[in-house]
Amino acid sequence: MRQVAGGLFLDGVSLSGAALTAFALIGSGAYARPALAQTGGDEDLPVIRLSGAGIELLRIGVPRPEGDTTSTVTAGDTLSKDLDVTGLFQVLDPASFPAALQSEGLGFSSPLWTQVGAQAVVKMRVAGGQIEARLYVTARGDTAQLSKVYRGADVRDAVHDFANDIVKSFTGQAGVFGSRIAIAMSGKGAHEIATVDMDGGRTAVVTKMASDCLLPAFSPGGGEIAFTSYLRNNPDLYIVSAGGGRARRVSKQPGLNTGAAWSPDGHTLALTMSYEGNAELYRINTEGGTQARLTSNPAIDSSPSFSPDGGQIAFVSNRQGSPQIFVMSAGGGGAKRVTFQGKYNQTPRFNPRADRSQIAFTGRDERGVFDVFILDVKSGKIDRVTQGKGSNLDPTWSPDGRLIAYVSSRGGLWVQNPETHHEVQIWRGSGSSPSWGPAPRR
Amino acid sequence: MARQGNRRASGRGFQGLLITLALHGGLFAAIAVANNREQPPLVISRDFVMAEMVKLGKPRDKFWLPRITQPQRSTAPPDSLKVAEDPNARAAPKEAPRPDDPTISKNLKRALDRARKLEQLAVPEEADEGSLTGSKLGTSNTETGDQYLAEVKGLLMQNYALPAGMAPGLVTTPPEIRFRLGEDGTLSDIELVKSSGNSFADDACVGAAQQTRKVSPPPPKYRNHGIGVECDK
Repeated sequence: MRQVAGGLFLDGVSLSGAALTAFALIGSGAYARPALAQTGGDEDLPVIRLSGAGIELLRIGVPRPEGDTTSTVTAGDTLSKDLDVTGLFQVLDPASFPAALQSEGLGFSSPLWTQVGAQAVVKMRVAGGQIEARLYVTARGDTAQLSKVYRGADVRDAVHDFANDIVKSFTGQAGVFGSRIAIAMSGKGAHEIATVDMDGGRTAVVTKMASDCLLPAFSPGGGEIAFTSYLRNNPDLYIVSAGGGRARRVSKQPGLNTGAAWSPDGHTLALTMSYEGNAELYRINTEGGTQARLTSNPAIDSSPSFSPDGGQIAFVSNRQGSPQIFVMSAGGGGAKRVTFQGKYNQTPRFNPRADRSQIAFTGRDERGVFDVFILDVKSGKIDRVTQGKGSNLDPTWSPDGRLIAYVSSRGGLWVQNPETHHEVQIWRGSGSSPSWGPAPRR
Repeated sequence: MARQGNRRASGRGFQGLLITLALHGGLFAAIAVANNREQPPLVISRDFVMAEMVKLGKPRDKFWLPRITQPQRSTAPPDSLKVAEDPNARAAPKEAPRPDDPTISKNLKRALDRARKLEQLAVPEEADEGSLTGSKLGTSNTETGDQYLAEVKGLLMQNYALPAGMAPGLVTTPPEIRFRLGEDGTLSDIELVKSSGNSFADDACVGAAQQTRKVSPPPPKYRNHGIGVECDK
């Protein structure tokens, strides 16, 4: 072996300097080109990673539907209200749509709708008791993402079905339009139990007992409502069909028979009774037979709510001084305090979604204002749902666990999406203790 | 004998030449293959500035129920609004001083005094909550890594928002965009380089850069430089 200028000579085999350099480069891996070379750049590309995105409402256009005049107005108004209530969409003002877009029919021009700021557009043609509906997404071109014909006894029901499908196409989970909320309606006379459509469209008075009826609770199947009435001068527990009719008395112990909560299987009720001298929680079957006493404490225990799997009950107790939220086994025992902020927390309601582990409740803040809060049971973290808008209380979850309804000192019944804090007044009447019924069957 | 030795030597030389040619050929083929192979993108890990904004005020009692704090929405830097500014324009003429009006100035003085007294009397509806060691502007307590890119990231984050309620399963891979930073901090050539497969997630990523529009003028090393952005949920 001998060294030659610019290379190496190995027993008749010569390697040039360039070749040696190439060998060295391959060996060290330094031949790898920088990433920008792949994308046409000329330097190191610093990469910024964004996570924890904010949340914005999806801008959706709802142009006036085609078809019969009276039905089209109802259909357009109902769909706009439905989409607004979800707290997922910002419904664009139709007045801002140029005439060309209003007369487009069921067709769609993505560039034109992009100009007015729409990210999605819904279209309807109402005729002969049915609705031909389309959903377009401007970023996906002029092809409808959803094209379906809906039929219903009422045009509003058909629109609700369409709204549920729209929600499903964006979130992967159908909406809860068509569900109802039971409420203790107060007016000039006695409180009666009423049901309100979740968009506030229809109100039906369920009881006609001419005595104060309070604290309604929808059964898991949606067919019945439990409530407390003073009809016989004692707060007794009754159950009435959600469609109205004669109520049957299921608990008439002396003293309190109030604040009933249905177990998820619909076979038993947890409620507060005081016939043994102190307000305690009991579990009874829906025919009225007492099954078990769940708490035994000199303090007041009330306002039970079952966890979605039926294994736990959240309730309010002042056993450690001020009213706070506790969680115990559904069979009684093992009570554990879960709220440590605020001096007056009440009306706990478990989120019906098993994967959420959340309890909504009413809390009184340091200024003495009642507002709605959500407790994450696992972490103990509390998030505020309402603030600075009067007093807001008695939360109840939608059946899909996405929305919360509550009553407010501003009047009426309000629905909020806690993810976006978008709230809508759905009902202007006067009432208390709302209870959201199950999603409609499809 | 000598002729035989010479013949053997020239034969060995020819073989050596063939081997050399073969080795060079193989080497250049290896280089060609290596250069054509798909390479993973070179991601430069950077520690951005970790800053904590600490508002001056009395700390909130930990036993009180929480309050909602609204996130601040971004606005473009003020200088980005000066689109019609003419550096050669004449300065506006100074207003001639007005003769003092003793009546007006006395009334004005009285009104200002009254306003000052009222301001002192007024109790703010809500006391500022924060940290006793904070400042009115906020305090940056840690500084490591690239301060400029941290600022860019902060501005992009203010404009990065996904549609509410979007199911987590709808976005499997985070989208990636690229843009170029002009000398004055203008973001240009914004392009989606990797789609997530979900148009809303892609739009949100591109929208973060489009709405940010402009950041502070970059230091020399980032002038006319490409910046990559990966938008995770």
